[in-house]
Amino acid sequence: MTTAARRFPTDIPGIVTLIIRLSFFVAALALVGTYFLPWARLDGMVESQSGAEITSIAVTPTAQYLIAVNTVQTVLLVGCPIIAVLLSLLTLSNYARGEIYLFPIVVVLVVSIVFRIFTSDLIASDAGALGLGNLLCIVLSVGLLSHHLIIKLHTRLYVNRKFPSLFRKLYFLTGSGYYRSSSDLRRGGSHRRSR
Amino acid sequence: MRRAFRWATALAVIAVVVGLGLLAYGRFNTSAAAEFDESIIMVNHQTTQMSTSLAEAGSFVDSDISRITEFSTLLATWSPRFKTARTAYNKFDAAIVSAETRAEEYFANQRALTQRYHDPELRRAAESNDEIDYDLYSEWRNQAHRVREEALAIIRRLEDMDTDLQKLKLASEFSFDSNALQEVPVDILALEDELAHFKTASENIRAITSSPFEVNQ
Repeated sequence: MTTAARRFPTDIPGIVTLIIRLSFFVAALALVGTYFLPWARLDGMVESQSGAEITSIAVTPTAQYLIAVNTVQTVLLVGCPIIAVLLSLLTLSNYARGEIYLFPIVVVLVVSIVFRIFTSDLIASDAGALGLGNLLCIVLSVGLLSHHLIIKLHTRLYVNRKFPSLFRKLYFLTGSGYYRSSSDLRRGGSHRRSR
Repeated sequence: MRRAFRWATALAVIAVVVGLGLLAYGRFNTSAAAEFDESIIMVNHQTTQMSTSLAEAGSFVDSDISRITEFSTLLATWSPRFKTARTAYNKFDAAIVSAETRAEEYFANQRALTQRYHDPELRRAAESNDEIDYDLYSEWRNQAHRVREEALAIIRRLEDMDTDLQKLKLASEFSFDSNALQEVPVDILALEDELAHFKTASENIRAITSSPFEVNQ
Protein backbone atom coordinates (compact mmCIF):
# COMPACT_ATOMS: atom_id res chain seq x y z
CA MET A 1 0.00 0.00 0.00
CA THR A 2 1.37 3.43 -0.88
CA THR A 3 1.57 6.36 1.53
CA ALA A 4 -1.13 8.22 -0.42
CA ALA A 5 -3.42 5.21 -0.23
CA ARG A 6 -2.95 5.05 3.56
CA ARG A 7 -3.77 8.76 3.89
CA PHE A 8 -6.86 8.75 1.71
CA PRO A 9 -8.87 5.56 2.17
CA THR A 10 -10.79 4.24 -0.81
CA ASP A 11 -13.06 1.79 0.99
CA ILE A 12 -16.51 2.95 2.18
CA PRO A 13 -15.93 2.53 5.95
CA GLY A 14 -12.63 4.38 5.65
CA ILE A 15 -14.26 7.25 3.78
CA VAL A 16 -17.11 7.40 6.33
CA THR A 17 -14.59 7.49 9.17
CA LEU A 18 -12.61 10.22 7.41
CA ILE A 19 -15.73 12.34 6.88
CA ILE A 20 -16.69 11.90 10.52
CA ARG A 21 -13.21 12.85 11.72
CA LEU A 22 -13.34 15.95 9.52
CA SER A 23 -16.81 16.81 10.82
CA PHE A 24 -15.72 16.66 14.44
CA PHE A 25 -12.64 18.74 13.70
CA VAL A 26 -14.82 21.34 11.96
CA ALA A 27 -17.20 21.23 14.95
CA ALA A 28 -14.24 21.95 17.26
CA LEU A 29 -13.23 24.79 14.93
CA ALA A 30 -16.81 26.13 15.01
CA LEU A 31 -16.69 25.98 18.81
CA VAL A 32 -13.75 28.41 18.68
CA GLY A 33 -15.71 30.53 16.17
CA THR A 34 -18.62 30.98 18.60
CA TYR A 35 -16.35 33.35 20.53
CA PHE A 36 -16.88 35.89 17.74
CA LEU A 37 -20.66 35.47 17.64
CA PRO A 38 -23.07 37.40 19.90
CA TRP A 39 -23.09 35.96 23.42
CA ALA A 40 -25.34 38.45 25.20
CA ARG A 41 -26.76 41.95 25.17
CA LEU A 42 -25.69 43.74 28.31
CA ASP A 43 -28.31 45.68 30.24
CA GLY A 44 -28.36 49.27 28.97
CA MET A 45 -26.61 48.52 25.67
CA VAL A 46 -28.30 48.59 22.29
CA GLU A 47 -26.41 45.84 20.47
CA SER A 48 -25.46 42.30 21.43
CA GLN A 49 -21.82 41.71 22.32
CA SER A 50 -19.72 38.81 21.06
CA GLY A 51 -17.64 36.75 23.48
CA ALA A 52 -14.54 38.66 22.35
CA GLU A 53 -16.27 42.02 22.86
CA ILE A 54 -17.41 40.97 26.33
CA THR A 55 -13.83 39.98 27.21
CA SER A 56 -12.51 43.28 25.90
CA ILE A 57 -14.90 45.13 28.24
CA ALA A 58 -12.32 44.33 30.96
CA VAL A 59 -10.11 47.19 29.68
CA THR A 60 -12.94 49.76 29.47
CA PRO A 61 -14.55 52.03 32.10
CA THR A 62 -17.74 49.94 31.70
CA ALA A 63 -15.94 47.24 33.73
CA GLN A 64 -15.92 49.57 36.75
CA TYR A 65 -19.67 50.06 36.41
CA LEU A 66 -20.27 46.31 36.09
CA ILE A 67 -18.05 45.58 39.13
CA ALA A 68 -20.00 48.16 41.15
CA VAL A 69 -23.26 46.43 40.23
CA ASN A 70 -22.11 42.88 40.98
CA THR A 71 -18.46 41.85 41.28
CA VAL A 72 -18.96 38.08 41.12
CA GLN A 73 -21.23 38.29 38.09
CA THR A 74 -18.76 40.63 36.36
CA VAL A 75 -15.96 38.10 36.87
CA LEU A 76 -18.20 35.39 35.41
CA LEU A 77 -19.37 37.62 32.55
CA VAL A 78 -15.84 38.52 31.45
CA GLY A 79 -14.18 35.25 32.46
CA CYS A 80 -16.53 32.64 31.00
CA PRO A 81 -16.12 33.53 27.28
CA ILE A 82 -12.30 33.74 27.51
CA ILE A 83 -12.07 30.45 29.42
CA ALA A 84 -14.43 28.89 26.86
CA VAL A 85 -12.34 30.02 23.88
CA LEU A 86 -9.00 29.02 25.43
CA LEU A 87 -10.26 25.53 26.23
CA SER A 88 -11.94 25.32 22.81
CA LEU A 89 -8.52 25.96 21.28
CA LEU A 90 -7.09 23.22 23.48
CA THR A 91 -9.87 20.86 22.34
CA LEU A 92 -9.17 21.77 18.72
CA SER A 93 -5.47 21.14 19.25
CA ASN A 94 -6.26 17.76 20.83
CA TYR A 95 -8.43 16.82 17.85
CA ALA A 96 -5.61 17.84 15.50
CA ARG A 97 -3.18 15.59 17.40
CA GLY A 98 -5.74 12.79 17.69
CA GLU A 99 -5.75 12.92 21.47
CA ILE A 100 -8.78 13.06 23.69
CA TYR A 101 -9.00 14.71 27.11
CA LEU A 102 -12.39 15.16 28.75
CA PHE A 103 -11.71 18.12 31.03
CA PRO A 104 -11.42 20.97 28.46
CA ILE A 105 -14.72 20.24 26.76
CA VAL A 106 -16.48 19.66 30.08
CA VAL A 107 -15.22 23.01 31.37
CA VAL A 108 -16.32 24.75 28.12
CA LEU A 109 -19.82 23.34 28.61
CA VAL A 110 -19.89 24.31 32.28
CA VAL A 111 -18.70 27.91 31.75
CA SER A 112 -21.17 28.40 28.87
CA ILE A 113 -24.04 27.29 31.11
CA VAL A 114 -22.71 29.31 34.07
CA PHE A 115 -22.58 32.38 31.81
CA ARG A 116 -26.18 31.77 30.76
CA ILE A 117 -27.52 31.33 34.29
CA PHE A 118 -25.38 33.34 36.71
CA THR A 119 -24.95 36.71 35.00
CA SER A 120 -28.61 37.72 35.00
CA ASP A 121 -28.09 41.05 36.82
CA LEU A 122 -25.80 42.35 34.07
CA ILE A 123 -27.66 41.07 31.02
CA ALA A 124 -30.81 42.66 29.60
CA SER A 125 -33.93 40.99 30.94
CA ASP A 126 -35.80 40.52 27.63
CA ALA A 127 -36.07 37.17 25.87
CA GLY A 128 -33.50 37.78 23.10
CA ALA A 129 -30.75 39.07 25.39
CA LEU A 130 -28.72 35.85 25.32
CA GLY A 131 -27.12 35.41 21.94
CA LEU A 132 -26.54 32.70 19.36
CA GLY A 133 -22.84 32.39 20.23
CA ASN A 134 -23.53 31.21 23.77
CA LEU A 135 -26.26 28.80 22.60
CA LEU A 136 -24.05 27.36 19.85
CA CYS A 137 -21.19 26.99 22.32
CA ILE A 138 -23.44 24.89 24.58
CA VAL A 139 -24.79 22.80 21.68
CA LEU A 140 -21.37 22.15 20.12
CA SER A 141 -19.71 21.35 23.43
CA VAL A 142 -22.49 18.85 24.19
CA GLY A 143 -21.89 17.26 20.77
CA LEU A 144 -18.12 17.12 21.21
CA LEU A 145 -18.47 15.85 24.77
CA SER A 146 -20.66 13.01 23.43
CA HIS A 147 -17.94 12.18 20.91
CA HIS A 148 -15.33 12.20 23.68
CA LEU A 149 -17.47 9.86 25.77
CA ILE A 150 -17.95 7.49 22.83
CA ILE A 151 -14.18 7.35 22.37
CA LYS A 152 -13.83 6.59 26.09
CA LEU A 153 -16.40 3.83 25.67
CA HIS A 154 -14.49 2.54 22.63
CA THR A 155 -11.29 2.39 24.67
CA ARG A 156 -13.11 0.64 27.51
CA LEU A 157 -14.53 -1.95 25.09
CA TYR A 158 -11.03 -2.56 23.71
CA VAL A 159 -9.45 -2.93 27.15
CA ASN A 160 -12.18 -5.27 28.42
CA ARG A 161 -12.50 -7.16 25.11
CA LYS A 162 -16.29 -6.88 25.19
CA PHE A 163 -18.98 -6.38 22.50
CA PRO A 164 -16.70 -6.74 19.45
CA SER A 165 -19.50 -5.86 17.00
CA LEU A 166 -20.21 -2.60 18.86
CA PHE A 167 -16.46 -1.93 18.99
CA ARG A 168 -16.19 -2.27 15.18
CA LYS A 169 -19.24 -0.05 14.56
CA LEU A 170 -17.89 2.67 16.86
CA TYR A 171 -14.53 2.40 15.15
CA PHE A 172 -15.99 3.35 11.77
CA LEU A 173 -18.98 5.49 12.73
CA THR A 174 -17.23 7.84 15.14
CA GLY A 175 -13.66 7.70 13.92
CA SER A 176 -12.82 6.70 17.47
CA GLY A 177 -10.15 4.27 16.36
CA TYR A 178 -8.02 7.22 15.30
CA TYR A 179 -7.95 8.89 18.70
CA ARG A 180 -6.00 8.14 21.83
CA SER A 181 -7.92 8.84 25.01
CA SER A 182 -6.27 10.21 28.16
CA SER A 183 -6.35 6.73 29.77
CA ASP A 184 -4.40 5.37 26.77
CA LEU A 185 -1.87 8.17 27.08
CA ARG A 186 -1.42 7.53 30.79
CA ARG A 187 -0.67 3.90 30.04
CA GLY A 188 1.81 5.10 27.43
CA GLY A 189 0.18 3.13 24.65
CA SER A 190 -2.62 3.25 22.17
CA HIS A 191 -5.25 0.92 20.80
CA ARG A 192 -5.23 2.82 17.51
CA ARG A 193 -4.98 0.73 14.38
CA SER A 194 -4.71 -2.32 16.57
CA ARG A 195 -7.52 -4.12 14.75
CA MET B 1 -4.47 15.19 7.20
CA ARG B 2 -2.81 15.73 10.58
CA ARG B 3 -0.68 18.51 9.08
CA ALA B 4 -3.77 20.26 7.71
CA PHE B 5 -5.44 19.97 11.12
CA ARG B 6 -2.39 21.48 12.80
CA TRP B 7 -2.30 24.38 10.35
CA ALA B 8 -5.99 25.03 10.92
CA THR B 9 -5.42 24.98 14.69
CA ALA B 10 -2.53 27.41 14.42
CA LEU B 11 -4.65 29.74 12.26
CA ALA B 12 -7.51 29.56 14.80
CA VAL B 13 -5.11 30.53 17.61
CA ILE B 14 -3.79 33.46 15.56
CA ALA B 15 -7.35 34.57 14.68
CA VAL B 16 -8.41 34.56 18.34
CA VAL B 17 -5.30 36.43 19.53
CA VAL B 18 -5.43 39.03 16.73
CA GLY B 19 -9.23 39.47 16.97
CA LEU B 20 -9.17 39.93 20.72
CA GLY B 21 -6.15 42.23 20.52
CA LEU B 22 -7.81 44.47 17.92
CA LEU B 23 -11.04 44.66 19.91
CA ALA B 24 -9.22 45.48 23.15
CA TYR B 25 -7.13 48.12 21.34
CA GLY B 26 -10.31 49.64 19.87
CA ARG B 27 -12.01 49.70 23.27
CA PHE B 28 -8.91 51.09 24.99
CA ASN B 29 -8.74 53.98 22.51
CA THR B 30 -12.39 55.02 22.75
CA SER B 31 -12.63 58.80 23.13
CA ALA B 32 -13.62 60.40 26.44
CA ALA B 33 -16.65 61.96 24.70
CA ALA B 34 -17.91 58.57 23.48
CA GLU B 35 -17.45 57.07 26.94
CA PHE B 36 -19.26 60.00 28.57
CA ASP B 37 -22.11 59.70 26.07
CA GLU B 38 -22.35 55.95 26.70
CA SER B 39 -22.45 56.47 30.46
CA ILE B 40 -25.26 59.06 30.17
CA ILE B 41 -27.28 56.60 28.05
CA MET B 42 -26.67 54.00 30.75
CA VAL B 43 -27.95 56.36 33.48
CA ASN B 44 -31.08 57.11 31.43
CA HIS B 45 -31.72 53.42 30.91
CA GLN B 46 -31.17 52.53 34.56
CA THR B 47 -33.41 55.41 35.68
CA THR B 48 -36.28 54.00 33.65
CA GLN B 49 -35.58 50.47 34.88
CA MET B 50 -35.41 51.61 38.50
CA SER B 51 -38.62 53.61 38.43
CA THR B 52 -40.42 50.63 36.86
CA SER B 53 -39.03 48.24 39.50
CA LEU B 54 -39.92 50.55 42.39
CA ALA B 55 -43.41 51.07 40.98
CA GLU B 56 -43.85 47.30 40.73
CA ALA B 57 -42.76 46.82 44.33
CA GLY B 58 -45.12 49.63 45.30
CA SER B 59 -48.07 48.19 43.39
CA PHE B 60 -47.77 45.04 45.48
CA VAL B 61 -50.72 46.15 47.67
CA ASP B 62 -53.38 46.67 45.01
CA SER B 63 -52.55 43.73 42.83
CA ASP B 64 -51.76 40.91 45.20
CA ILE B 65 -52.09 41.31 48.91
CA SER B 66 -55.88 41.18 49.04
CA ARG B 67 -55.84 37.77 47.33
CA ILE B 68 -52.99 36.31 49.39
CA THR B 69 -54.03 34.10 52.25
CA GLU B 70 -50.85 32.14 52.89
CA PHE B 71 -47.65 33.66 54.16
CA SER B 72 -45.40 31.63 51.88
CA THR B 73 -47.33 32.98 48.87
CA LEU B 74 -46.91 36.51 50.18
CA LEU B 75 -43.15 36.06 50.49
CA ALA B 76 -42.90 34.34 47.10
CA THR B 77 -44.65 37.34 45.52
CA TRP B 78 -42.75 39.96 47.45
CA SER B 79 -39.16 38.64 47.39
CA PRO B 80 -38.53 38.78 43.59
CA ARG B 81 -39.97 42.29 43.40
CA PHE B 82 -37.83 43.44 46.30
CA LYS B 83 -34.72 41.83 44.83
CA THR B 84 -35.38 43.42 41.41
CA ALA B 85 -35.93 46.85 43.00
CA ARG B 86 -32.72 46.51 45.05
CA THR B 87 -30.70 45.45 41.99
CA ALA B 88 -32.20 48.26 39.91
CA TYR B 89 -31.15 50.79 42.55
CA ASN B 90 -27.60 49.36 42.65
CA LYS B 91 -27.36 49.65 38.87
CA PHE B 92 -28.70 53.21 38.93
CA ASP B 93 -26.23 54.20 41.66
CA ALA B 94 -23.31 52.54 39.81
CA ALA B 95 -24.36 54.21 36.53
CA ILE B 96 -24.30 57.67 38.18
CA VAL B 97 -20.85 57.05 39.72
CA SER B 98 -19.59 55.82 36.34
CA ALA B 99 -21.07 58.85 34.52
CA GLU B 100 -19.41 61.22 37.01
CA THR B 101 -16.03 59.59 36.47
CA ARG B 102 -16.45 59.77 32.69
CA ALA B 103 -17.56 63.42 32.98
CA GLU B 104 -14.41 64.33 34.93
CA GLU B 105 -12.25 62.82 32.18
CA TYR B 106 -14.28 64.51 29.45
CA PHE B 107 -14.12 67.98 31.01
CA ALA B 108 -10.43 67.58 31.85
CA ASN B 109 -9.80 66.80 28.17
CA GLN B 110 -11.97 69.72 27.13
CA ARG B 111 -10.06 72.13 29.39
CA ALA B 112 -6.70 70.81 28.19
CA LEU B 113 -7.71 71.40 24.57
CA THR B 114 -8.97 74.90 25.35
CA GLN B 115 -5.59 75.77 26.88
CA ARG B 116 -3.93 74.93 23.57
CA TYR B 117 -5.42 78.01 21.86
CA HIS B 118 -2.76 80.70 21.25
CA ASP B 119 -5.26 83.43 20.41
CA PRO B 120 -6.60 84.91 23.73
CA GLU B 121 -9.96 85.76 22.12
CA LEU B 122 -10.46 82.21 20.88
CA ARG B 123 -9.41 80.82 24.24
CA ARG B 124 -11.84 83.07 26.14
CA ALA B 125 -14.70 82.06 23.83
CA ALA B 126 -13.82 78.39 24.24
CA GLU B 127 -13.64 78.75 28.04
CA SER B 128 -17.05 80.40 28.00
CA ASN B 129 -18.50 77.50 25.98
CA ASP B 130 -16.80 75.01 28.31
CA GLU B 131 -18.42 76.69 31.29
CA ILE B 132 -21.85 76.47 29.67
CA ASP B 133 -21.30 72.76 29.07
CA TYR B 134 -20.08 72.25 32.62
CA ASP B 135 -23.05 74.15 34.08
CA LEU B 136 -25.44 71.94 32.10
CA TYR B 137 -23.64 68.88 33.38
CA SER B 138 -23.67 70.22 36.97
CA GLU B 139 -27.42 70.73 36.73
CA TRP B 140 -27.83 67.18 35.43
CA ARG B 141 -25.59 65.82 38.21
CA ASN B 142 -27.55 67.66 40.92
CA GLN B 143 -30.82 66.28 39.56
CA ALA B 144 -29.30 62.80 39.46
CA HIS B 145 -28.22 63.11 43.09
CA ARG B 146 -31.69 64.28 44.13
CA VAL B 147 -33.26 61.32 42.34
CA ARG B 148 -30.74 58.98 43.96
CA GLU B 149 -31.61 60.31 47.40
CA GLU B 150 -35.34 59.80 46.71
CA ALA B 151 -34.67 56.32 45.43
CA LEU B 152 -32.48 55.47 48.41
CA ALA B 153 -35.24 56.61 50.78
CA ILE B 154 -37.68 54.27 49.05
CA ILE B 155 -35.19 51.42 49.00
CA ARG B 156 -34.60 51.82 52.74
CA ARG B 157 -38.34 51.66 53.34
CA LEU B 158 -38.56 48.58 51.13
CA GLU B 159 -35.73 47.03 53.15
CA ASP B 160 -37.65 47.81 56.35
CA MET B 161 -40.69 46.24 54.75
CA ASP B 162 -38.64 43.17 53.91
CA THR B 163 -37.40 43.00 57.50
CA ASP B 164 -41.04 43.27 58.67
CA LEU B 165 -41.95 40.34 56.45
CA GLN B 166 -39.00 38.28 57.67
CA LYS B 167 -40.05 38.98 61.25
CA LEU B 168 -43.62 38.01 60.40
CA LYS B 169 -42.33 34.81 58.89
CA LEU B 170 -40.44 34.09 62.08
CA ALA B 171 -43.54 34.92 64.14
CA SER B 172 -45.74 32.73 61.95
CA GLU B 173 -43.44 29.77 62.59
CA PHE B 174 -43.65 30.49 66.29
CA SER B 175 -47.42 31.08 66.25
CA PHE B 176 -47.89 27.74 64.53
CA ASP B 177 -46.47 26.14 67.64
CA SER B 178 -48.64 28.25 69.90
CA ASN B 179 -51.80 27.72 67.83
CA ALA B 180 -52.18 31.43 67.04
CA LEU B 181 -52.10 31.32 63.25
CA GLN B 182 -54.93 33.80 62.95
CA GLU B 183 -52.57 36.59 63.98
CA VAL B 184 -50.62 36.32 60.74
CA PRO B 185 -53.34 37.40 58.28
CA VAL B 186 -54.12 40.33 60.58
CA ASP B 187 -50.46 41.34 60.51
CA ILE B 188 -50.36 41.02 56.74
CA LEU B 189 -53.37 43.28 56.37
CA ALA B 190 -51.74 45.76 58.74
CA LEU B 191 -48.92 46.07 56.22
CA GLU B 192 -51.28 47.45 53.63
CA ASP B 193 -51.03 51.02 54.92
CA GLU B 194 -47.26 50.79 54.98
CA LEU B 195 -47.14 49.46 51.42
CA ALA B 196 -49.41 52.27 50.23
CA HIS B 197 -46.62 54.68 51.17
CA PHE B 198 -44.21 52.79 48.91
CA LYS B 199 -46.58 53.03 46.03
CA THR B 200 -47.04 56.77 46.42
CA ALA B 201 -43.31 57.31 46.83
CA SER B 202 -42.44 55.20 43.78
CA GLU B 203 -44.94 57.14 41.68
CA ASN B 204 -43.26 60.33 42.87
CA ILE B 205 -39.84 59.15 41.82
CA ARG B 206 -41.12 58.07 38.43
CA ALA B 207 -42.45 61.59 37.91
CA ILE B 208 -39.08 63.06 38.92
CA THR B 209 -36.85 60.68 36.99
CA SER B 210 -38.74 60.95 33.73
CA SER B 211 -37.69 64.55 33.13
CA PRO B 212 -34.12 65.58 34.03
CA PHE B 213 -32.08 63.07 32.02
CA GLU B 214 -34.22 63.09 28.93
CA VAL B 215 -33.80 66.86 28.57
CA ASN B 216 -30.06 66.51 28.02
CA GLN B 217 -30.14 63.55 25.65
